[in-house]
Amino acid sequence: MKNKTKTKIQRSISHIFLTVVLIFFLFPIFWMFMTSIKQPQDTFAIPPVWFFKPTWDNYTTTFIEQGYYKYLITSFEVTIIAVFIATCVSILAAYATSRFQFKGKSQMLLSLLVFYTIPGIAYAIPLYMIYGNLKIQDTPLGLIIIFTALTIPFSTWVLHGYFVSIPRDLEDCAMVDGCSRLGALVRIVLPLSAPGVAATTILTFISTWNNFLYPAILAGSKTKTLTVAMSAFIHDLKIEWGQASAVACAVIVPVLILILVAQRYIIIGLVAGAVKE
Amino acid sequence: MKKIKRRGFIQALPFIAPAIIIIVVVLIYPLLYTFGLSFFDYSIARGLRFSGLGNYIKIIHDDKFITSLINTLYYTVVVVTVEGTLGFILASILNQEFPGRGLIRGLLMIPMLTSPIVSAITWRFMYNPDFGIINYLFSLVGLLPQVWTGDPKTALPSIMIVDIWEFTPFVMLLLLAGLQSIPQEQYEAAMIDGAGSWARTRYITIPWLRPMILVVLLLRTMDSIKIFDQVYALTAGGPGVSSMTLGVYAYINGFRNFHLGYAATISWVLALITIAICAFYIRSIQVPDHA
Repeated sequence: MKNKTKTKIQRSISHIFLTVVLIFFLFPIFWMFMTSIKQPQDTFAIPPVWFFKPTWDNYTTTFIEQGYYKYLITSFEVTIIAVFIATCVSILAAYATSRFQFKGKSQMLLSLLVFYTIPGIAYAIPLYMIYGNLKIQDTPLGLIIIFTALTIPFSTWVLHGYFVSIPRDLEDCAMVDGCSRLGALVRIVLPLSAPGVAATTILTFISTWNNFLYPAILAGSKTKTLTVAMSAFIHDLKIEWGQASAVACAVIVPVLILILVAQRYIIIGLVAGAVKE
Repeated sequence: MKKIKRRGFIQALPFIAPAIIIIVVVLIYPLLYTFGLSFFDYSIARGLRFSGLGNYIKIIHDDKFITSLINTLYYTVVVVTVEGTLGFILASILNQEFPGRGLIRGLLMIPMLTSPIVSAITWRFMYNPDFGIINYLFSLVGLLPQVWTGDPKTALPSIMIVDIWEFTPFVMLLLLAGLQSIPQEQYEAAMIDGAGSWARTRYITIPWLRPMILVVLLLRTMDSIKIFDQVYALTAGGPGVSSMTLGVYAYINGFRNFHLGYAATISWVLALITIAICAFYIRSIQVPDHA
């Protein structure tokens, strides 16, 4: 009996704690969304206005009148192309490392981790100068190149773990039946490791989409991404918080959709990226 | 055996060549370039001039660099400790079955997947001393308003709060995955032997989870050391250099003052620190765990 009361108390404590935690973690995003649908005069109201007539003005002003739709398109274009190329390249590389034995393989795999942990600024400074020489600064190509390269180490690392877990017998059978290695990879290994491929694609899409440092340094006015356009608000003397919030929400929405439809894959990818299977 | 390995390499080559070429050209070459650049002075007016160890000598005597280094390390220790503790508590709670658990886990993923620059600007809005919601909430409970990002005393802690907000869920998710991999029989056996909840945590959960805890803490350490977006958007290192970190200091030297050689030196030092930690990380994931 005594024990039962104790567990009951423990349970309510953890529920209260969980509620407080949830408010802390969700409130900022909620507040930003509220700000984005407020009239300008309500944005700065103290005490804050909780009930108001929502308006989409901040969205139409930024995305249509001020042409922010261009930055949205650039963000999508650069992210999709880079993630697509990187995923293809990584699938090939991870397939090779999971199927063939060669000298220095494990060192090579582990060195991949080094590349994705090195601070971005160490790549960005030289790339700024190299891109200047090659005349590809402020082009989608320049951003696609660096984003592709940054994505490959993580994707290869995660996919390698996945491919290793897929039995070789099926491929061997297919190859006896006259299938080429590439054919076996595409027809047998890929479908079987679809969750892993989905996980890496989604995670690398999110991290590329969210990236700020590279477009801030390597892109100018022509290839501004949404994150760079968003950050530009803070340089204004009088920050238009309603509009800034609208742009911020636009950065978050694609990610929210992915969490909604693919939460399981995101977790798979995060765990596989952190530990060795 | 040697022959097999050589054949293996020849077979693997066409598959790995694209990845290797891209990594060498776009990542390794720039890193070497940064290293080379750290021995040069660069300014727009005069271009490149060899300066030997000049930048490295300058770094040692640069008070702002030392402050940035101390800030970065202090920042890292605080956020990793808080995120580790809070993440562990949350993971333990979410490891129990209760209705809505999946939904809560999904909701908690939002901060960590939100673009860091966006979260920083969101918090900047809430930190605003005049019309920010945080000072309003403070006034409701009788606390004095703060200047948050504008006060040298609170600038760095303000950024830490954003970091803790953003990345505690990451720690929680990975530790939760670790907790779920612990076989239930272990707990059942311990309970038969009369182990209480503390004993179970101490002798089963923590030893089982240890490899995962280490990995998560190292990942967070590497990420915190190279912190950039949040600092850039919240304070840009200010007021003065009170919240300056190495990443932002390198950026300011490179792209505000255009001392690219000096900026390269700072970022090279920063890269070396993360590579050193990464070496620990690689060792810790190579140890064969009991899983």
